[in-house]
Amino acid sequence: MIHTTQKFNVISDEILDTLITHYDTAGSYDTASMNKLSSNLVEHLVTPIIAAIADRELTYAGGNFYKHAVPYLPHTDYQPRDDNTLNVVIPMQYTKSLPNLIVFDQMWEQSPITWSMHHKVQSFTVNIGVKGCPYEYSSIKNLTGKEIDHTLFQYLTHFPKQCLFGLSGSAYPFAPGSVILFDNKKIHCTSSFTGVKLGLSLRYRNR
Amino acid sequence: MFELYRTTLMGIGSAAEVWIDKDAKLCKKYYRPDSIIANGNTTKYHSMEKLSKFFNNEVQWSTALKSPHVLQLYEYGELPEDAGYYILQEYIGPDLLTVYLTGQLHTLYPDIIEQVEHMFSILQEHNIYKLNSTLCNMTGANGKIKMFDFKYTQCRTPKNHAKEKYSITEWLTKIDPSIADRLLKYI
Repeated sequence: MIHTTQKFNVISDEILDTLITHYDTAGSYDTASMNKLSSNLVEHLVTPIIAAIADRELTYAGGNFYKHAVPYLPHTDYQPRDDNTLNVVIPMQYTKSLPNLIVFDQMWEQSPITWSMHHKVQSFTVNIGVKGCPYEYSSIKNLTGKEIDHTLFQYLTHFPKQCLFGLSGSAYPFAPGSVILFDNKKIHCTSSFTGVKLGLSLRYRNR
Repeated sequence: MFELYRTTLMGIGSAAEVWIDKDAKLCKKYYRPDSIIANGNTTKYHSMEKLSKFFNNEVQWSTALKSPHVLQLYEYGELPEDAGYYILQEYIGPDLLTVYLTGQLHTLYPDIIEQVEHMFSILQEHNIYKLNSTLCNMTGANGKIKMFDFKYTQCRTPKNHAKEKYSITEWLTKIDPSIADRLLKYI
């Protein structure tokens, strides 16, 4: 079991600058809305730092930069065939209000999906878009059976409250220089925010 | 090594178990069902859910303020059985009330009035009301003061204006009576 941890001021300004330059000079990106870019060429800059925090050897399983202005929908990244259990988010830049990564206590242990919530079903290549909200999926672990609490909902006001029924969790500030480690099976999403944010998401195998 | 920090002073460690590593200048705060806090009490007055909210509020505001007058966070996370923790970096010594009682406030912090005024300008910039804006919630070293304890912090409202005014006139004026006029313009 991986317990969610955020460690602050562990990625130096020099490394952050290198990562941002790498992203900005890439030229083309994988998807129009998320502006993704593979992290394969730069993971070696941060993996030793993350291994020291996790206090174990890590096997890199993939990852990507992502830049967006619209909050990500609730999703998971765990791929059973890859056993990429550890997810690491490295906040890099934000332009206006401080965004948060919301990590829910609820877990989805099957192939990665994205809940489309109150929208029409969205089309995603990896985290396949599915209809509706997490509470409608009985195989999710740890659903609370009650309304989301007021404090957590304050970060998620871009969703109708009833779509978040059964969810609990915490908000982790998207603070550049920090790293956030969490279990890839946990449902997670972006808080409401304004402006644009750039981050790096890395996945590691469970061995 | 972290050592459990207990005190007979009310208001310190009132919601969490506090461990301090003086050598590394780190202060680790836990909440868990069996935590022992100030005066040997347990955290029974707060639910785990409430404590979780306190901790998250602390993390949110400490991060959002991005000020040299705020103790920096070192780590934040969850623990088994609904418990959680955060670690403050640069824990640097006694709170200002303790220093005040020794009569050394102005010796150790010659420009304390200007520094506190700067803190209030930061709070004004973010439109936040920091409950517990008292001498107990500030610390310092090398002449520089820093604020901590953001668990009750919230956006300013007309309703909490009176409480904020009280903390200035009843607490912060212990630094110097003239400070009230300088700070009240920021709230």
